[in-house]
Amino acid sequence: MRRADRDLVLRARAGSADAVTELVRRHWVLCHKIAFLVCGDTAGAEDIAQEAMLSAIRGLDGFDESRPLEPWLHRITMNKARDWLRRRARHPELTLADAYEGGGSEEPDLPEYAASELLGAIRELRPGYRVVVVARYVLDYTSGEIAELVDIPATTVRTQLRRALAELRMLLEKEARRESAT
Amino acid sequence: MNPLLEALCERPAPPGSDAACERTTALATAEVARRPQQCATRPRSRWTRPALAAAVVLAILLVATPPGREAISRAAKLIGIGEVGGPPTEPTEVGSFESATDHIVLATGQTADDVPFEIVAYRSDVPIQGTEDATVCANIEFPGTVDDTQGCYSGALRFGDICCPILQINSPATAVPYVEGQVNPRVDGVSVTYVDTSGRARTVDAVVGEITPAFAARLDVEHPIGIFIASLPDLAVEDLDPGVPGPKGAAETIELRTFGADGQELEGEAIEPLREAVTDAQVRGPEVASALAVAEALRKGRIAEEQNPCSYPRDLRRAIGLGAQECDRLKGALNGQYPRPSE
Repeated sequence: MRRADRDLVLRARAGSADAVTELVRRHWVLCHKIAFLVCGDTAGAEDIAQEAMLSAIRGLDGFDESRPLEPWLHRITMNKARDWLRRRARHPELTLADAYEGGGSEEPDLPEYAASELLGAIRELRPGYRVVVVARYVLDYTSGEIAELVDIPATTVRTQLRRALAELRMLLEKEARRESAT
Repeated sequence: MNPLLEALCERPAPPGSDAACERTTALATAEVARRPQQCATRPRSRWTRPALAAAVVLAILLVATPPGREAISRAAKLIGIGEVGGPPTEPTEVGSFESATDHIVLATGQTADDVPFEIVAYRSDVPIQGTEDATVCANIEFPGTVDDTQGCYSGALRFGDICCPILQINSPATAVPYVEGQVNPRVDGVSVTYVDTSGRARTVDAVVGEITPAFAARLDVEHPIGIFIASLPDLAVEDLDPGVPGPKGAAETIELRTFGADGQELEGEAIEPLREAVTDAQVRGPEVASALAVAEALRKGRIAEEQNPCSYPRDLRRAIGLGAQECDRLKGALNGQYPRPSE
């Protein structure tokens, strides 16, 4: 963990409002962006990031300060985002085909596009796919970690990743066609 | 660093991020203040008190003086969107319904083509339906554009889960069609399923702005409502026949569903489906259903017979979506020519 983060964590645990303020301000923006990328909703992203920050502050006593703070905060944010999506889920994202197809052992590669285009297309994905894609390709989770996050088998995670990337490619190609037409 | 994470870091923050951060900071520090302290905090700097005093003076200057408010407004315009609970970015159109309260932003969001919008509510003392209930007006505003939609409602009508949904397909603000309408307070979420240009059914969640108990207290209204808007990218409207009012077939493909605070789907009491075109630009919810809602209110004694909204001036009737045709249907509904809604 960065030295400054470690000091802030220790001081926040001791009840320093300044340290808490600094911690929140320092890490808010990225957590908020991750939340927005996953949920695609302005108000939802704010709720998610806020809940994540408050949970983190409440849980500081249990945090191992020898480890980096950011991944811990991002994990809490992803958990909150997943909860938010579940609360709002109208249709199960996991289809029977997903569950029974089995995912194999290979994780698909992200298509080769500019990062900004990829991020734009990720926002267009179905919510369930956004979770796995952001976790895998933005936050570098392993399939096992994603499986733990979304509570489905790792093989299914890989299936979902493949389907998500197929959808992502379609979106990117569509966007490219639109651009070339204009 | 992962290139995507790096790109994410470089992207602009979502709308309202700074203010949300400050709110979270305040909550987080309050959270810590409630906890028993493990050891003494460091002594306050001798500059803390003067800095706090300066911050308070600055806050007062910003909030309480016209130049300060103008500065806040300019800042909001730069950001492009107001803050939930705060004033709207631009003055709200009130039409016949003059406002009796401040205008409050209930929710903010972006259309599918990234146009920011605000859902804004206020109370008007201009009565609707001749009842004594407060009139609640709610607008969906797209700052910086001329496209605003307004709806004013009385708690007396107590409509079903969704009232008066409208499909906007020629908005000057956004190239993406959107559907908007009102929901009653038990509705926490709205999903919209429609057929896109590839023929596939697509479902999107609406942004719902709710007059929460806190907002209801600020507006002094007893019967709150919610307002929703959902952007429908790639809605199949190719069959729009130029010169003929309304898209043919687009509205029929749209299905609205409502959800409670626990995320469970509601039974969809009296949801009014989108149906009939009024102009090229919009499709209004069916007159029959609206007439039935009014008829139900009349029948249940929520409003008196002599308070039949069809007897009100034309602009008031239009504001609540009662056209001449609808009033004819209302008369029919009251005379039993249409099936009455279930109790």
